[in-house]
Amino acid sequence: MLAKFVLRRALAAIPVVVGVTVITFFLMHSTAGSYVPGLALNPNLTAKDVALLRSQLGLDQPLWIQYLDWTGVAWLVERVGLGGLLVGAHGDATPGLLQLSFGQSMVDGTSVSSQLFDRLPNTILLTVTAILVGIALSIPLGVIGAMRRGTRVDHAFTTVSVAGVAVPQFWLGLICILFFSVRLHDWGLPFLPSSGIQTPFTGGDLLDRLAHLIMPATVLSFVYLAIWSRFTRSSMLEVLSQDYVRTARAKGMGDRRVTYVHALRNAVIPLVTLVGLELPGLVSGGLVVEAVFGWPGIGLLAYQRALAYDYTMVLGIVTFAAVLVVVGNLLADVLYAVFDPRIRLA
Amino acid sequence: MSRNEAESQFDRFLDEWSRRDFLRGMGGALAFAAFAAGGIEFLEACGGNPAPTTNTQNAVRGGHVVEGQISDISNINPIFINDVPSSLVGYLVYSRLVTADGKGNLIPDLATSVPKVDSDQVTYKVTLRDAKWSDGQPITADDVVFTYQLMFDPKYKAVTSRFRAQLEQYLASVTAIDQKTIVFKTTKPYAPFVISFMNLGMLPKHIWEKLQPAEINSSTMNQVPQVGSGAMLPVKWDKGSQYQLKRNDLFWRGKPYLDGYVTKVVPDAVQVANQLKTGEIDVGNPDLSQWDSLANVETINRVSYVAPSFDYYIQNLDSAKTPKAAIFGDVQVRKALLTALDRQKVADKVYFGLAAPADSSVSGAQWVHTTPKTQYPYSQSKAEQMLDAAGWAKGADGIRAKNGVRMEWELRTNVGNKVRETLITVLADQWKQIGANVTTKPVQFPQLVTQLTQSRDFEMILLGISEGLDPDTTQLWSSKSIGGGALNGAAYKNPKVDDLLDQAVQTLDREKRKGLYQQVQEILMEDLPAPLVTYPKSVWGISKRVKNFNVAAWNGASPRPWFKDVYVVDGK
Repeated sequence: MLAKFVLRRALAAIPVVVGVTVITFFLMHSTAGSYVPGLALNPNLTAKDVALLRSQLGLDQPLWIQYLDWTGVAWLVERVGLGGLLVGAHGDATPGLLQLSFGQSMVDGTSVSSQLFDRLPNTILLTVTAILVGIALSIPLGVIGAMRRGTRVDHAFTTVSVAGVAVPQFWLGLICILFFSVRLHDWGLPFLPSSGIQTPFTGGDLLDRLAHLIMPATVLSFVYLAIWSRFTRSSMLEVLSQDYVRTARAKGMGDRRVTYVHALRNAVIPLVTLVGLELPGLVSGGLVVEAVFGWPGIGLLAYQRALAYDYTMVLGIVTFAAVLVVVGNLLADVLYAVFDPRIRLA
Repeated sequence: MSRNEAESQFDRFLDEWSRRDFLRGMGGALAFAAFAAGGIEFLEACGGNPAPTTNTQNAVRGGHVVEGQISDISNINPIFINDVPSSLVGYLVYSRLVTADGKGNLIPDLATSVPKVDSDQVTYKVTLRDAKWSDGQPITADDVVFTYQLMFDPKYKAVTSRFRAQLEQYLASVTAIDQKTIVFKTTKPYAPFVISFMNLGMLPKHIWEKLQPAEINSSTMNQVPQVGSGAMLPVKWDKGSQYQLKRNDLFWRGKPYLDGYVTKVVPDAVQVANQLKTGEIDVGNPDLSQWDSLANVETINRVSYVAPSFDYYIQNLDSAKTPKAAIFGDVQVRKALLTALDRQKVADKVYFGLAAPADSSVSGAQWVHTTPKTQYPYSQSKAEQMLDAAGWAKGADGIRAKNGVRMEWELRTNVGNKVRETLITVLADQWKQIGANVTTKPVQFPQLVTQLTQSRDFEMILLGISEGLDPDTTQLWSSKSIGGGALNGAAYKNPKVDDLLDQAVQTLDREKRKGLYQQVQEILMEDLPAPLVTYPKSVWGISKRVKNFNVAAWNGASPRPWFKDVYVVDGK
């Protein structure tokens, strides 16, 4: 049952991923500027140089051939002897995506997957920490808010939540850096490192890495915390007004048990969906925070390479992210069924 | 490529590509401390810092230096290098035939002396000094020839060298005579040859010849080579985070004092200032806005100098492209517009004082720089008189017009460069005061460049230029450089200038060549097709524990021939 469900969803995901890559590919090529700045627009390169480089990188091909090249379809077509169909192709296509290869960066020639997988652990470390902190704090905050609805505590939490949504991450990040790095240093106190994941030369141990993680993870979790705690609160309020909660109370069940066992379990179900939807954020969600704290993650890479017209790198990242979105949604659906037996996977 | 990259010719980039390195550069400008030009008092070019000198009397061995960079390296292989962090690391790892000192003079590197052209005007003989690769192999003429083959030999056509077409044009042959001697022959007398084509890192043949040509483009050795010949050797590259290097004990200039060196990726220039304050980095280019706040930091020395670069506005003179050419086509108008600009105030306010008003068509960091006789000191009333005299009379709305052409146009610059975005507003405002209705529009950089170099459908554009080590400005002012990707977007045509520029490229005598470029500067100052507004400065914060870090006009990120003498007083 479950296997069949997962398989069906996986198959349905293929057109989604293909669609995403097609759209990204043609969007990138339709932006102003034709290729890596400093190359096509570089006044020091002669027209001949530029033409040569473009041809070497396959950029002189029609767009659809370039796309088929990248996916490996061109290679496949040539392999089965139908290469003549690809008018204008250069005839030395590579298996590309069919071989799970994202190709080489246009900007620096490094392999896209090496860039991706070198940075993936950094991004995951940051986002997972932030999500865990977010969950760990938002559920209690939401529950307390619901239990003490209308009190000062509730209002205080509401204020924090609104602030969390309203305050831009880049601003919060900069303020944190100013205070926890620069000011603390000025006052001669121990201070938090303001960027990166480790101290050059001397750092790299667990404590050093933790110190670098604190600020970005806190800033990133703040938004999660804000949204999820509100969600938990309203969901909790709804559940608390249900008949079965009243029944449980009427039977004389302890308040604590009613709240934390019966009500909470039902109240967190929608939260599972929300958290599941954040899974693709494992890749992109930390972009702003990564940029502010110089955290060498995937979001920052995608952003920088998009500005540099690094077509292959951006396509690689986007494809990867698209797969993650699909997997994230799938996981959320499965978890949903686990938490709520009323939901059947079909 | 960067403004302090030494591959001069290749290096004359629109400033935007090194925008991130806006604050970087170098000033041979140290030479002209303070002088008056046409009533404009120059700021002291070196910002009060004494000329850097190397002193290793009390040098301490050991320790590390961390330098902040706003972007990561991408490719440090000399035949591919295209950005500042890469050229910084690339320079430390690979020696060149020749390099440049802080004033932009060529000095020998692997060559025993700076090559001089033979009497036939096309032959250069280069003799190598005794030097070793970091794996102990000698550096020979074969290595040099191999490096040039990679860049332009048809055998290596698959290598995406950025120099191929240019070398095909100018280099006829490169031959090893013996282990220590190489002979270069150019296709014709070409003055920038040594600066442009010998100022490149050399690669070890015994390592790279093992690769197929196509493999060279994507080899991991382009980022982390095992064998080098510079002061430092790669240890590791943490992508997006840091690039770590260690001392090269076999360096031919001698063993460097530092044990290690890191370029650390820092999010932006404001953060560079913050990290200089906290000591997380030892060296970096802080944001202009943070300059004053760094003055109070006891642990930091501030260094600033006029960089080889300028910001200028291009007036479209081509009536086929814009009706506004009727305005800019009048040289009296061009002179009046420049006279109406208070460039000292612009330098003080827009650049936080970290720029000097421009007085010519090249920066003071160039060895050919001269201050032309004609200058346009700020005077609003004089500007108005000039326009009145030229027949541009003010209408009822205060806007000037002549023959039915109203004096109004759009001034563009690139989005995201705060200094420039402020600058166009200030310029528009100053011109409004003399009766010109100027609107401003920030445009995406690639579009702006296309408008300037291809379609030329603009009225006025403000941009920055990073100058190369070679003073050739054909790209900017020759009538050959209109459209087709070249930078003469104003469509400025002056046969005399064309002729002088052509002559200068073929004149190998340095003093004669300088004379030709000074004539060009005099003419440009009369014609004003695209007047320079300011010479921005490079600014550095350098920890007081770091000594001999002698950044200067042409020794910013690369080259840094003094690097082996850099040491840290605490040995940490």
